[in-house]
Amino acid sequence: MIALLFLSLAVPFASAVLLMLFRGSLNQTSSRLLALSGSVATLFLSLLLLAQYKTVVLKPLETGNRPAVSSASEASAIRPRAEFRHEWLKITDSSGKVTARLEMYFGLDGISVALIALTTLLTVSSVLISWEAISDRASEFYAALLILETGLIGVFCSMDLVMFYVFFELTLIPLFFLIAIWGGPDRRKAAVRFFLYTLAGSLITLSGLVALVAWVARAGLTSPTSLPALADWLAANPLPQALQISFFLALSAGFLVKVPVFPFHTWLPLAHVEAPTAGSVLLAGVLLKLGTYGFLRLCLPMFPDACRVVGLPMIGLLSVIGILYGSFCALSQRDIKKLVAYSSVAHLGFCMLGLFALNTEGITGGVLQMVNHGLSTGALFLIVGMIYERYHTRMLDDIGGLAKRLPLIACSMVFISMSSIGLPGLNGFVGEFLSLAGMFRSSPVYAVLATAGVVLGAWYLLTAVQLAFFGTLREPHQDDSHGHPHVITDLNAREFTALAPLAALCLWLGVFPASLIELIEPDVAALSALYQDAPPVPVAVNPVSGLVPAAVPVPQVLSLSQRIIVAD
Amino acid sequence: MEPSSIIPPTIYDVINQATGLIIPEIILLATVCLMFLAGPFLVSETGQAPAGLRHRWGILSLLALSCAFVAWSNTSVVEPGAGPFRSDALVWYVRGLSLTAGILLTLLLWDQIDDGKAAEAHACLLAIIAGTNFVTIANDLVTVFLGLELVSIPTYVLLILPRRDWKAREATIKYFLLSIFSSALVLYGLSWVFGIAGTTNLTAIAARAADVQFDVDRGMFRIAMLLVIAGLSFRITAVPFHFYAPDVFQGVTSSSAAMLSFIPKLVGFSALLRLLSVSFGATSLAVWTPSEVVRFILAVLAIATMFVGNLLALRQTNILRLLAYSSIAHAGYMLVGLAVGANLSGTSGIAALLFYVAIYGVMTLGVFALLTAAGSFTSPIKMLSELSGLGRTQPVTALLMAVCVFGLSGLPPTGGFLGKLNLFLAAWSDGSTTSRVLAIVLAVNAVIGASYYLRMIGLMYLEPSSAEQSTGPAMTQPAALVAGMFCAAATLIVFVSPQWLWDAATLLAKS
Repeated sequence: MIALLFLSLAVPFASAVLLMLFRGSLNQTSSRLLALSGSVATLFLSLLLLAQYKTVVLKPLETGNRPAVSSASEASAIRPRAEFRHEWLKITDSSGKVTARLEMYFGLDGISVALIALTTLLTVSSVLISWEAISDRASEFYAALLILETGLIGVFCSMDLVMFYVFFELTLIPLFFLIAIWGGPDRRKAAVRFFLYTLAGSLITLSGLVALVAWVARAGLTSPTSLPALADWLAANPLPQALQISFFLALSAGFLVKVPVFPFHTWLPLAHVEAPTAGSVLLAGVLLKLGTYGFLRLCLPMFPDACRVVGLPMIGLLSVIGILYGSFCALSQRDIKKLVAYSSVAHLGFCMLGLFALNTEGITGGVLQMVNHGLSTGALFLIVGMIYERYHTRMLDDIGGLAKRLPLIACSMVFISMSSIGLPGLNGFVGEFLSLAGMFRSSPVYAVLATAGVVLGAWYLLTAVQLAFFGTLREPHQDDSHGHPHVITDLNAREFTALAPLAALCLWLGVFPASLIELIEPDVAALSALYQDAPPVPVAVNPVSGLVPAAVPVPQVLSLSQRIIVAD
Repeated sequence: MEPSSIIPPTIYDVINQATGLIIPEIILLATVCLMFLAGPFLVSETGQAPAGLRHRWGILSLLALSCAFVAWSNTSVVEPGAGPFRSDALVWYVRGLSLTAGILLTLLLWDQIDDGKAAEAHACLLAIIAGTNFVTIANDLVTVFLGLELVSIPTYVLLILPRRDWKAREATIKYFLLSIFSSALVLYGLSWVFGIAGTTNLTAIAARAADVQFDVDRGMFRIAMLLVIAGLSFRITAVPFHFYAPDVFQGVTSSSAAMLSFIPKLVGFSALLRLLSVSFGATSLAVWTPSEVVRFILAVLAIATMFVGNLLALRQTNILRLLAYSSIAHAGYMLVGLAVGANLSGTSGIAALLFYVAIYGVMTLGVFALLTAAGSFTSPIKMLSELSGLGRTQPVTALLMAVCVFGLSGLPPTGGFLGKLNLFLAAWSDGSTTSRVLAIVLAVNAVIGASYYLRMIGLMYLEPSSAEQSTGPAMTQPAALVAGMFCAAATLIVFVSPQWLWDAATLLAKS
C-alpha cells in the first residue's frame, strides 16, 4: 500500500519534471497528453489505494483481527493504518543526547485515502478543462498543476509535523505561478495577495508548531514531530489550558486563512476570480481543505481543552458568521465565479461547524463536507469555466436563457447546484445534515443560525441558475473580434468526461453515503473518543480521557445517523 | 609558565608538533608563495599576459585546495596544549567549510580576472582561506590576530585587483579603513585579555578565567569581550558595524562580493566562539553558554541586525546591494544561535549556528555564482531589473538560482529551511525570555525576507525579458556555472539528508 502511495506521489512529480525538462520540444498537444496520462495514472493509483485500503485495512477491522501495520498505539487519536518511516534528522543537544527526531513519516488512514482520491480526481478534471483554454506555455502550466497535485497528496499522507508543513508550503508555489501567469487581467495582484496572505498565516502556524515541538521535546518526548506519538503524548500528559489555547491559536492562524474562516477570507474571491479554471477547481476543491484538514489533523487531536474552550465558541461563531456573510455576499454578486467563490466561504463554514461540534456526527459531517464541497464546488467552477470559454464573460448581466443554447450544460448546472444547495438525495445534504446535527448537540444556537445558511444557499444559487440559464436568451456578441461568427456548442465529450465523474459521485454519495462513512469511521471514532466523556464546559480535564478506547456508544450513534440518511 | 610535562620538550619537538597541526595551511601558503613569486615572470612589463594564463593559475589553485583537502581528511583531534595551534572538532569543521568555500570561490574568480592579474588574485584567495583556518586553529591570542590579519590584508588586494574603476577604489578604501579600525578594536580587546590573564595561550587563559577571584577581573574580562565583539561584528556585518557592506558589495565584482558575503562571517563566528568561550572559562564549547550580559548584547545585536538587514533590503534596486543587506540579515539569524549558546536543556544553539553557517555559505555562494554566470565579464548583472526574464533566456541558470534563492528565504525543499528550523528550535527550547523573543523575531524576519527573495523569483519568471537580454548572452562563465550547480545541488541534498551535516556541526560540542 505504501508502494502505491509513493507511486502516486512520484507519478505526478515525474510527469511534471518531464514537462519542465522537455518544455522546449513539447507543443501544446503533446504536453497536455503527457499531463493527462500522468494525472489519469495517478487517479488509477489512488483508486487502487482506496480499494486496497478497503480490503486490507477495513475488512480485518470489522472481523476483529487488526493487522499490526502501524507503530501507533491502538488508542491513539491519530493512527495511520499503513506507514513508512525513515529517519531524517536527529537534532542533538550539546552533549550528543537526541532532543528531537525528525522523520520522513508517511502514513495513511481513511481520511487521507479519501482526500487523496478526491485530489487525483479533480486533477484529471482540471487537466481536461484546460485542454483548449491554455495555449500559452502549456507544458509549464501542466507541470505546475502536477506539482500542485504532488504537494496536495503529500499533505494528506504526512504523519510528521515538519513533512506536513513542508508539503503545506509546497502547494503555495505552483498555485502562485498558476494564478500569476495564466490568470485573469488582475492576476499579479491576486497572486501576490494570495501568496503573502497565506504565507503570513502559515508562518504563524510554523512558529506555533516549532514552539510546540520545542516545548514537547523539552518535556521529554524524543520524537516530537511524529503526529501519532505527539497526539499520544499530549493525551497522556495534557498541557495546561492556557498553553493549549496559545498553541491552538498559533496553529490555527494558517488554517483559518487557508479555509478561509470569516474575517480572513478576503484573499479568496480575488484569487478565485483571477485564477484559471483549473486553478480555481483545485483551489476550491482541495487547497481550501488543507485548512480544515489541518484543524482535523493537528488542532482537534492535540488540544482538546482549547478546542472546547476556544474552538467551539469562537471558531463556531466565526463559522456561523462566515456562512451568513458568505451567503449574503454571494447573493449580491453579478460575476458567477465570484458568487461560487463566496459560496465556498459559506460551505466551508458548515465544514468547520461540523469539525468543531467535537462529536462523532459533527466530525463525520465535517469530513464528508470536505469531500462534498470538493466535488460540487469543483464541478461548479468547471461549468463556470465552460461558460467563460464560450462567451468570455461571467457576468450575470450579459448572459441569460442559456438553457436553450446549451441544454446539457444547463442540466448539469442545475444538478450540481442542487447538490451544492444540499438537496436530500444528493451529497451536500448528508454532510450538512450531519454537521448541523452534531453542532445541535454541542451548541443549538449556532446550529439554528447556520440552518438559515442552507436557505440562503438555495436562494443565491437558484437565482444565479435562473438568471443565467432560464428566461429569454441573451448572449454577448462573439463575432466581432475574429471576423467570423463564433459557433457556440454544447457540452463536448472532453468536458463531459471532466464533469461526469464528479456528478456521478455527487449522486452516489447522496444515495449511499455509508460507503464513504465506513471508510473514515474508525479514524473519526478514535478522534471523537477524546471528546466523549468530558463535560461540555471543562473545569478540570480528566487526563485519562484521551486514553479511553473508541467506546461502545460511538458506532451506535453513527449507525443511527446513517439509518436516518439512508431512510431519507 | 605553561603547564609543563615531566620531560620538557625540546624546541624541535614543539615545532614538529605545531607544524603537524597545520599541514593544509602550509600547502596553501606554499602555493601562495609560488604564485606570488612566479606570477610576475609570466607577465610582460606592460601587464600583457598570454591568453588563457588564468586557467593555469586556477587549476594550480584548485590543485592546492584539493591537496589541502586530502591533508584535512587525515587530521586528527588532539587535546590543546601549550603550543600555538590546536586541532579540535571546531577546527575540523571550519577547515572543511573554508576549503569547500575556497574551491567554490576559485571557480567564481576564474573568469572574473584578467590573465595578467590571475596569479595574484588566486594567491590572495588562497591566503584568505589559510587565514580563515588560522583563526580557528589558533591556540594563542597572537595566532588569532595573525589569522585575522591574514584574512584582511589579502582581501584589500583581492577587492581592487579584478576591476580598478572608481567604484572599486571607493569600495576598497572603505573596506580598508573600517577593517583597520575593527582590527584595532579586536587587538585592544585581546590586550585586555592578556592583561588580566598574564598569558596569551588560550588554554591557560581558559583555566585562569575559570577561577577568577575578583570582581574586578571578571569586569575586565567583560570589557575585553565587549571590545572583541564590537571588532568582530564588523566582519560578520552585525548592525551598528554594517555600514560598509552595501557600498562595498556594490563596488566590487560579484566574485569578491561572494567572498565578502561568506568568508568574513565564517572567520568572525569561529573567532567569537573561540574567544567568548575561552574568556568565560569554558573548557569546551559543549558547556559554554553566554552569561546574561553577553547574551543580552548578542541578542540586541541579533535583533537589530535582522530587522535592519531585511527592512533595508526591501527597497533595493541594485542586486548586489540587495544581497549585501540579505547577508546582513543572515548574520542576524546566526547571532541567534550564538546568543543561545550550547543550551544545556535542548537543541544546541552552537550546532544550529554552525549548521546554518554551512548551509548559508552554500546558498549565498550559489546565488553569487549564478549571478556571475548569468552576466558576462564585460557587462555583469548589476541591477535587479536585469534579472527579468532570466527564466526564459537562461532557463538552467534561472532554475538553479531559484533553488538558492528559495534556500535563502528558508522555504521548504531546501536546506535553508532546516537551518532556520534548527535555530528556531534552539532558541525556543532554551527557555529564557531573551531567547524566546529572539525566536519570535526570527520568525517575523523570515516573512519580511521572503518578500524580497520572492521578488527576485518573480522577476526571473514572471516579467518579460528586457530587450537587450532577449538575445541571450553566450555562456561566458562556465566555471561559475559549475559552482552554482554544486551549490544548488547541495542546497537540496542537505534538505533530503541533513544528518551528516548536523553530526559534523555538533561534533565540536563533544571536543
